[in-house]
Amino acid sequence: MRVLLVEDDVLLGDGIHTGLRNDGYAVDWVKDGETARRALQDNEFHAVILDLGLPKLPGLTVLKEFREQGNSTPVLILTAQDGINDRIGGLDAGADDYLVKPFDLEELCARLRALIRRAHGRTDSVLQHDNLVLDPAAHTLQYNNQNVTLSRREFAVLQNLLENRGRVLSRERLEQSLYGWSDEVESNAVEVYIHHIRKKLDSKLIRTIRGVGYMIDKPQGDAE
Amino acid sequence: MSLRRRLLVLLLLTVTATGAISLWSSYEGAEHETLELFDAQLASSTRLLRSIIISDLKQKKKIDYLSEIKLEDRFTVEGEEHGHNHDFNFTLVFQVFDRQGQLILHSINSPDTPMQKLDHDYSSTFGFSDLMFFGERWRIYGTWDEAEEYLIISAQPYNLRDRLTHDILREITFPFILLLPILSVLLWIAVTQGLRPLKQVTVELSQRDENNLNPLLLSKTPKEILPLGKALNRLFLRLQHSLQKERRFTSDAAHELRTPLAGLRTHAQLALAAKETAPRKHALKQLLQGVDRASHLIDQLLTMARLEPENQTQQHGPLNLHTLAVDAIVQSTPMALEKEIDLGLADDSDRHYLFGSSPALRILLRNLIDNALRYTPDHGQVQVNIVKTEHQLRLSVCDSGPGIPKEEREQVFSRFYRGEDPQAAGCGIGLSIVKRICDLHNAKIELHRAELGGLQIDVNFPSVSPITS
Repeated sequence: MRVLLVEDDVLLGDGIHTGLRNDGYAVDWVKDGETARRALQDNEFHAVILDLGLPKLPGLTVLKEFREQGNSTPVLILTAQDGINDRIGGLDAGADDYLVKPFDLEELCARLRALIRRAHGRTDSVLQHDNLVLDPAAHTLQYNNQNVTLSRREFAVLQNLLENRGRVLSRERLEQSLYGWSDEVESNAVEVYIHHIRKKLDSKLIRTIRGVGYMIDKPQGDAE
Repeated sequence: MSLRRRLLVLLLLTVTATGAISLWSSYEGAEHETLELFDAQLASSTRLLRSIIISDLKQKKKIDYLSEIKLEDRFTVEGEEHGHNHDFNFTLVFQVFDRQGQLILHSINSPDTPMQKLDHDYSSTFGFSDLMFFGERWRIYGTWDEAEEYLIISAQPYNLRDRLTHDILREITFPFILLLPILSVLLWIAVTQGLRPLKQVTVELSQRDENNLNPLLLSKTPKEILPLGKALNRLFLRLQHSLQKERRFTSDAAHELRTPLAGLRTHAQLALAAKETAPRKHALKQLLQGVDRASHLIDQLLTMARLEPENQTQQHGPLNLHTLAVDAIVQSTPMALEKEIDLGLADDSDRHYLFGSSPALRILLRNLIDNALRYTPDHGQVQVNIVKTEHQLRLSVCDSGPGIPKEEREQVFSRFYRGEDPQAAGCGIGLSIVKRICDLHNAKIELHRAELGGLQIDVNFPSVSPITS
């Protein structure tokens, strides 16, 4: 899952950055409104965490423009203002959720998970596929009622594929969701993770579309 | 002292003084009139006596008048019209002298020696005069008979007249004294009525709670207290403004504190959750840094609060800007050394004195220099200049940092404005503090592009005087 973090405060930004990465997200961190606008134009994210008080371009403007371009990526705003009008303004500008500073890091992660889940049209917090149960909040995976341990990135790849069942995800897109700009991308990393997942679970779970990418089939009986 | 009591006392004093003056002049007049009346009566009685005695003297050669004439008559005048009885004893004492000055006749109540030493020409015995005998004051009247053979001198005691005038005085004083308490009560009521509009304002003000700073309605206020009412309304307006400013500042400050607090919280949670040493150390380090930054923010907020006009108790006095600048540079040197910034001072002000508050100017210098150091990259340059121009003293702080774009220069003085560079971790209050101190010193602050490439901040202090030893 790739998340854009827009926060001008170095200390707070660093904290959220680290926290989200620990939770398995690929995080891109920008510190002003202008850069945020460019990042949103050029990249695809699963979610955006947006501080409202930003230099160069206010957070609300960034959000409004983003929505005007028809983008539906979930956006969670961070604000130091706890007035009801600030919250209404943020939600009306197109935010999906808000948090008032100072907030709990775990709550931020939980809200982010909920946003991503809802964005994929799920109401259940757990991803279920045949005899596979993936819990993004608890970071646990059960296969045939057995706990299976996956690394942070393996987990992210599997979650991404499960979120997009029936759709082919390109290698690049999977790669993008794993690494922020600052991360060093290992070559063939995605292939390696897929290989690990297949070894730990069923080798037929993930289908390779040669030259394109990977996909997990829709559950049988599920209407297209 | 209450206004009402003051008014009452003043009014009573005025009334009493006027009354006393009028009483005194009535008394004076009565005394004068009484004197004239009694003198006329004395003269006419004397003349009447004279005609009786002289004719008797001419008919009988030698008379034993001494025993016969008893002129101690008691006149009783009945003042029927007024219903009062005035009991006056018109005592008349007389002596008759012949041409040789021999006492030949006197009334029975008279001394048997001349009442008055007679001069050779008797000139002193003409007309009216005053004399003491029998232990009291007498009014004397002397007259010659037509042939100027006999001199007749009669005397009347003054106490008669005094009694009359005292009676008159009593008559006119009594009602006045009696009226005074009634007058006081009436005046009290009148003053209370007169002060009612003032009381209304007082009641309105005293019933207000501390949050009600709405202006007073002055449409019915009398013009004497209108200026007071208007001044109060102006005060209310100023209070309202400063309260609003304070509330805005408090709310801004609270919000500004939330971000560092959010950072602290996040890193504390990260440190707790970290299983390895390196990430935990990193989080703890960030935590410490966050605490430092929050403390800095609070320091700056407190400085700002102390510079509010209502807290301005420190006295302005003459001070040497050069010394202050040197102190500030010495304090900032460790930071400059850390970033290897060339920090220096150039002073060609001839060491002029400046009129101001030295604690405030220390804060100003500190903020300007720290700001410059903070925004200037490593190995850069920060230069402090003090220049004496014709009428003013200019303090300049220049740096080789990124500077501030022209269109943003106005914004930098507003609270919590931060520059573009988030790495420079200021709290956004420094320049508002500087601006506030400049305002307190009537100094103008200007932002320019420095020759060093970065920002140049000029502070122009007015009215300087040369150091005189």
